[in-house]
Amino acid sequence: MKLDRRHLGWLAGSLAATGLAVALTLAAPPRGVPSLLLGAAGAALICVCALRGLRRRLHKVRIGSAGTWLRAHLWLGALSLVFSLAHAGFRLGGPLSAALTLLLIGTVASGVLGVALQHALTRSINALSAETIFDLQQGALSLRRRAYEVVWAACGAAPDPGEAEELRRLLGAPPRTPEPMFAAGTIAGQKELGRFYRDLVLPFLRAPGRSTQLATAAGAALAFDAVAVHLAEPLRPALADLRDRCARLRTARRQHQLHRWLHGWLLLHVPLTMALLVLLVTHAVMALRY
Amino acid sequence: MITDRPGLAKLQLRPGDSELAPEQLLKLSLFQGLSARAQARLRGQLGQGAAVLRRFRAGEVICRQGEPGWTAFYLLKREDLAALREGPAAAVAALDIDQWVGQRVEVSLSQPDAAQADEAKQAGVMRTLADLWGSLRRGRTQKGAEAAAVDRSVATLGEGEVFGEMSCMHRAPRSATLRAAGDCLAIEFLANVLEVLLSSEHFRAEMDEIYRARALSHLLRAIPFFAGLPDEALELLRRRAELITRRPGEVIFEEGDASDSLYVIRTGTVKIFHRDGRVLGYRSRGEVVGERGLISGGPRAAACAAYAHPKTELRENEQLALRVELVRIDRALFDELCAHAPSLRDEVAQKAQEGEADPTAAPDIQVASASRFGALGLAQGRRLMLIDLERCTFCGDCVSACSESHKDRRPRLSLEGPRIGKYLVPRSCRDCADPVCLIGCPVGAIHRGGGGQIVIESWCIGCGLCAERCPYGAIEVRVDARARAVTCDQCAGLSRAPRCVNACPHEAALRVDGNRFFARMSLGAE
Repeated sequence: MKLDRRHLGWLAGSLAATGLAVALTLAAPPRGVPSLLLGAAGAALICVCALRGLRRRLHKVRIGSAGTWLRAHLWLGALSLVFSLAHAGFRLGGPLSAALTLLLIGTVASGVLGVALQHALTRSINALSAETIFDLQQGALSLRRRAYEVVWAACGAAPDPGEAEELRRLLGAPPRTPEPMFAAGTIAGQKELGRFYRDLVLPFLRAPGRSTQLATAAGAALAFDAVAVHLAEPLRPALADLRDRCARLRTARRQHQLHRWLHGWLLLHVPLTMALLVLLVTHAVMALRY
Repeated sequence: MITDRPGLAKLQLRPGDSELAPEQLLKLSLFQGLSARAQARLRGQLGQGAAVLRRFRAGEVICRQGEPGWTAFYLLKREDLAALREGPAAAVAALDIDQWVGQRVEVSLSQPDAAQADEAKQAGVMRTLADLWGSLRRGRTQKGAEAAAVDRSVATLGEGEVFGEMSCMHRAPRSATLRAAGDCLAIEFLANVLEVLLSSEHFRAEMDEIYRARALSHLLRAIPFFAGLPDEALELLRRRAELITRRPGEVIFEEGDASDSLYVIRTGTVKIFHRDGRVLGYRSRGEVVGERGLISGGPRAAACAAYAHPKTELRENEQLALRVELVRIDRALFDELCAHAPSLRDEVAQKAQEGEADPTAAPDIQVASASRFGALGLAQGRRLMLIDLERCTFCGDCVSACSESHKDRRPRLSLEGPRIGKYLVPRSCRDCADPVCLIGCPVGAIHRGGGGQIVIESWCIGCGLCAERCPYGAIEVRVDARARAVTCDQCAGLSRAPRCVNACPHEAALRVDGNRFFARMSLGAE
């Protein structure tokens, strides 16, 4: 979530609570009632933060807005660290307490990393293109179908019979049979365009993640310029169309890569949270029992 | 009203109703005069059960004001009944024709009850508390609002008349409640049948006459300028006003033209723009354009054209369904009206001065990025989905929530689309003011639902025509057990915002009225 003026109230509240926690820690003796209360509050905040994962899955139940839950998750999560540190008297303590504190620091830090990434990378994703394609597979399929139709129309015949069948399987509907612009074999370069489509364009569109010649802007420029010299003027718009589609797919691929980075921090944050909850329960049981 | 039989459009049969064979229907006087091609088309569509003979009991409501109108009715004549008795599957064989002669349908308009409204005002705090309680118990407030309206009978329809056709034709809610005055027999038919009928020029001319006689005065009364006109002035207006139509994209008047008339929009959307292409605004059903020039006497300050969705290619006959229809009131008629009601000129002049009536007088209220706004068709979006890219982190919660709210677990929302300013316009139904997707469905399976949302019925045959028509790619044909078109239903039935909006933790997903939202944005409100 981006930090903006909607967070001011939460920031003020968190600062006030931090001040209170620090004051209590300094004023009260260690292991006293205030310390216990801070520990209980910290544990409660961790549990509330963990509940957001559940709330996210319960779209149909309205228990507060999704925005409020996320803001609470951010600020209460940070506050839980403050309370927990205050509860421990700003020391690591024994092995279990130390592990718990370190896990909590790790969890909060991974969350902070997530917020930082969301600020930095969303700007980069937005700067990439005027049209946004988030679903690379679906986007590639749509570009692939259109490329097939363009080449068919330009060459006057199906450029790759197997492709129509595959598109039918993947999309659930066959590509449209376009109006041929020229009959097959009547324009110089139709064969070359068909071959270029089969050998270079199609492999790239089928697997945009693989490193093929069209996967880089420089490689694509070379390949397209090389085939362009063999094509008669009327076929150039079709080639330009393919060039544009490949460029769009490259942009989408870059977006996809950034998108993976953008949400990659969750691979760290979620397991850390799970481990934290397990240790928290252990710590509570140990503390209450012994 | 509709059965759930996949692959077959069929209006539901109630007790006393009958299915009719195409040959029987083509004998009815309504269907006479159609070209051979239109008859052939009609045969194909009637074969799919798009028309049903219904028997309505005295006092029964045939259709209700405000409901989505996607069927039309035809009240049978004596000769129609005789023709039906002769048919191979005599639908009315057992009926005594004389019993059905002189059938009548009463037309009533639901209007706020002044007495109840006053009472409501006086109730003060108690009313507020009742409303609060009502809002806690879903639906209560709405019922309260309904109670404060009364049905006022405004006309009676007789044998041989078509009704409900205006809302069916223009994809608009029913403008009146129709109730059987006595027992009557009527044919109810889907929009695809009406479209065939409209291909007949004779039928269209007849419809215009019916409109002039039946609906024009109601339309004019609803416009603040004309609300206070005396009856004789309204009658003059009804008789003398010119009904004109413009195809999508066609110009109504040019900038700099002489201001010789004002126009009331009957159907469709009108775009107001400057010669340099700058769009000043959009006007739709029931609104007025060109009145400022008429008052000032100067040349037109802006041009007006019938709005066309971007990238919409329609066949010749389908352009009919998208045409803009206007009532033209020329200067001479306007002067005569002013003679009957001297305050009319002042009211129009005052409105023009305030800059509310003519957008040319309000240059500040210009749609942001007007050319892009027009190119993306955002003016059409009554519930346009936008993603604020400054807030969105691409978490996909909106898409997941959409998937989970449908039985097939597939989203009706795709975070893919063009941008305008900081907003992404994702591929999702925007609930167009004038939805072209409703035009031409061969089985009449697509229509507006009770909340104004687009509904695709289970008998959709998956031909993909609606998907092709939609200029915004918001309809998809999906092939599971069988091909079927699907689109966003705006989470109809939920009392709060759609699930995609509710699920967004970043408060980046919005559903807005495109026209208002971007106009406000240009004023710095957003």
